[in-house]
Amino acid sequence: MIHETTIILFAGEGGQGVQTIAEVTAALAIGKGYNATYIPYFGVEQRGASSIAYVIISKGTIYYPRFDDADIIVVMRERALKDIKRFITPNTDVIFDSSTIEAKDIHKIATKTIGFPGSKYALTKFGAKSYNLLVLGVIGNYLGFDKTELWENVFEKLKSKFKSKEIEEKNKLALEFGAKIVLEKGEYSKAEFKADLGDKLYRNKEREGIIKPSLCKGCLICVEKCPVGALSKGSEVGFFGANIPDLNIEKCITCGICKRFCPDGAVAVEKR
Amino acid sequence: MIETMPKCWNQKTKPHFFCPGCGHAIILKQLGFVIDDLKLEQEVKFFIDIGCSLLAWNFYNFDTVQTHHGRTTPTAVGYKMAKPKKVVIGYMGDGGGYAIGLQSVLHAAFRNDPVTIILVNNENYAMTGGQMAPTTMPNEITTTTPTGKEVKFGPGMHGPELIRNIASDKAYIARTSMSAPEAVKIAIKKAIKTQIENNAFSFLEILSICPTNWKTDAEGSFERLKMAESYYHIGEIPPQKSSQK
Ligand SMILES: Cc1ncc(C[n+]2csc(CCOP(=O)(O)OP(=O)(O)O)c2C)c(N)n1
Ligand code: SF4
Ligand code: SF4
Ligand code: SF4
Repeated sequence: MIHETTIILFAGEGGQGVQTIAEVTAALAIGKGYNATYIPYFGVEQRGASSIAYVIISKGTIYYPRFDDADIIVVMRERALKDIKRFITPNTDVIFDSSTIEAKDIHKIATKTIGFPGSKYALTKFGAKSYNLLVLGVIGNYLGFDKTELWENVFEKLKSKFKSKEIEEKNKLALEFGAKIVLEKGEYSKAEFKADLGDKLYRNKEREGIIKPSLCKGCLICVEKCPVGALSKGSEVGFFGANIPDLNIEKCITCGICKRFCPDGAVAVEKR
Repeated sequence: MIETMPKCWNQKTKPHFFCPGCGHAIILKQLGFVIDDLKLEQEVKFFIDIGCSLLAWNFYNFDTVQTHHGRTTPTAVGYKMAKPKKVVIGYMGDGGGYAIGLQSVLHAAFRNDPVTIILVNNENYAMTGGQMAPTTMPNEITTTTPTGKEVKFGPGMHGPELIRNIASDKAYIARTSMSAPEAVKIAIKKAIKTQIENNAFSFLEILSICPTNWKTDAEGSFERLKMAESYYHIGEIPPQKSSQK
């Protein structure tokens, strides 16, 4: 429900669509006759860190788009927890993705917590790219927006991004599904869709290789530069929420090019 | 354990602050390999500019000095005057070296100050959001040239060629491209050796990629880099025959 003034912080990973979710939420409120502001958070310390957006929705005048205390915080990835801490008061509702964030970690910093297994449903039902629409459904419903209006407004805002009818349809389903998710209070889903950040080791008789999901930003330069196609875009995500590469150790010729190029020191193969 | 980073990289500060796929980080990696190879970790003092280069303030295990925009060269030169035995490397963007800091670079070259300057040319002001730089090539679209860089803003600036005109014959002046990391390493080695062995000025421009501002994926970044390589000349810029500097 939107009160006289509702202050919302969105936090997650670059690539999760945090800024889109925040911007569309503000636009939805404006469509309903409220005043609303949306502003992304930029700063040097923000580079390579989580993605954060400020939204204020109000019946009155909004004088400044940033704030210190939030009424609602929507947090989509574990790594963003340290960034949202300072916005939490005893009255803040923290809505978290319970399929990627452990309830015990949320309870360390917040008392009023609400879960939704967003990543689980996005990844198993619609694909990772529909995550933002699914979360918009959850939030739209939570704020009390009408379900049919929700899609009309979202479509108006995002139609240029839907490159085909099929993608549009998938996103619509994800949004509607999100709006129907029963929010979890007290009993939460398992955080089983958390990114696994352990080193990935590959080995055969001649060589061994390593990929570090804790460092890889998913630029895929190694995939582009590998001369024999031994590296490919994998399906797992790393620390930064981006797809990390996968290595076919049999195809590899130990040329060392991937290590030479990788900007983040996240890949290498050596002769044994 | 397989090493994925140069030994002189400060592992505790990784992941670093550069964007995914940033050319700066790839160049800082080659510099790291060179410093490992030459065993210079204890000797190097590293000076960085304002611009994305500043994101390297805690990148290595050696001392790093953060300077003002365009003032990296004189700060590095001052340090070298006080500590002539140290290996002094200045690292900056094309905005820092060819726009706001050009006169500082020119005078260091003119005086033949024994420092090594590495200038990363990503053809835009990256840190501030991809505005046109002197090095932006004709017709390229940036946030300040939404219809393409017009003739009135000049062509893409050729820095090393300009600096060669007033530099000592002993100075090493060259341009390489990040698309060939081995060549980058060889050029960095030559530049550092010019400082140590010849007590002379060295200047290396490295053509680079900026996926964030040029809005390119891995393939697109290197396609753009190829364009830059054909517009700018790759290689050492030798002293002119007639000069007696
Ligand atoms: C004296 C001064 N003028 C302007 C700025 C704003 N500023 C910060 S970074 C930058 C451009 C940096 O571009 P470049 O040197 O090419 O480095 P890049 O970020 O592309 O690596 C500018 C103009 C500043 N910080 N200080
Ligand atoms: S080059 Fe490095 S950071 Fe980029 S995808 Fe490959 S392993 Fe990841
Ligand atoms: S070592 Fe060479 S062949 Fe092997 S994965 Fe890396 S780039 Fe490909
Ligand atoms: S803006 Fe460009 S140059 Fe700066 S860190 Fe990002 S990719 Fe690198």
